[in-house]
Amino acid sequence: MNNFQRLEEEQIRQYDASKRRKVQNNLEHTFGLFKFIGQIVDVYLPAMIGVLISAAGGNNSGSKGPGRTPSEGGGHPGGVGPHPPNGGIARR
Amino acid sequence: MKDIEVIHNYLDTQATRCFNLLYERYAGKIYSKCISMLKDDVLAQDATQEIFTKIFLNLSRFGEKSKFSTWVYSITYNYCIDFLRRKKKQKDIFSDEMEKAAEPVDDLTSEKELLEMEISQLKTVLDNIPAGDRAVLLMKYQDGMSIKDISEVLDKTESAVKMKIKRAKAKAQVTKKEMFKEPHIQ
Repeated sequence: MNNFQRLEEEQIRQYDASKRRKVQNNLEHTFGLFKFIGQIVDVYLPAMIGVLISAAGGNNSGSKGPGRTPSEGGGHPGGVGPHPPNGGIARR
Repeated sequence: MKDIEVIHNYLDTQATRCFNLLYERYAGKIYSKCISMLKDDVLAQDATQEIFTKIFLNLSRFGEKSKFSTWVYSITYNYCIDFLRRKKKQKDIFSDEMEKAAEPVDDLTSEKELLEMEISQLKTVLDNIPAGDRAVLLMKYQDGMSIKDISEVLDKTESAVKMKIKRAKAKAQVTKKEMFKEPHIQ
């Protein structure tokens, strides 16, 4: 170990538990916020785009809810609800 | 668990424990580089936070061409250099130093002197040389980075980096002589 590395060790010791915790908490808060914004965008953006297309007079029948299949109902233009009655209609 | 395994695990699961593991491994080292470069405790803490945010937002772009530590240090040094550049409003903290650079001295002698300096003296010397010189000396002697890695971090050619290190060592030696003048024996 040379004196540059000893200096580094000394400086790492200055980064005590309280500083470590403070920065870690701030980071967790930042990433929590990013995650929340990401979820909002994921859920609402496709719906907002659909509304804008409809408002502009277009046909948004091609759009679907995020990550949903037609059988899940919600978000699909032709859907009647989240669960089809009697276990759903058999597909061919 | 190796760094690369933790990274893959984090990218797959976004698990907090992976984040914590990488934070525990690198936070101290990043802070140490930031305080060496920025010379201010509060700025160094803020920089550590910003650098970790950058690292985690760009984790999927880590190409595994170099060691993860080299990639992390490269983000750290570039952040600090950009910060100082913005602060000093200098176009390039590396370019203008070439004009007023100290004359290179014998390479082996200057390296020996540099590595045998007392820690308190070394800290003072590093604090009193330009940021660009400080960065290359830390990369070479603290992080053990190769000339090739340093050249990639700084986006310079390998020969330019070699010359930069040589001049930085000379400048450190001159600074030491100026700041720690030995008393004359009569």
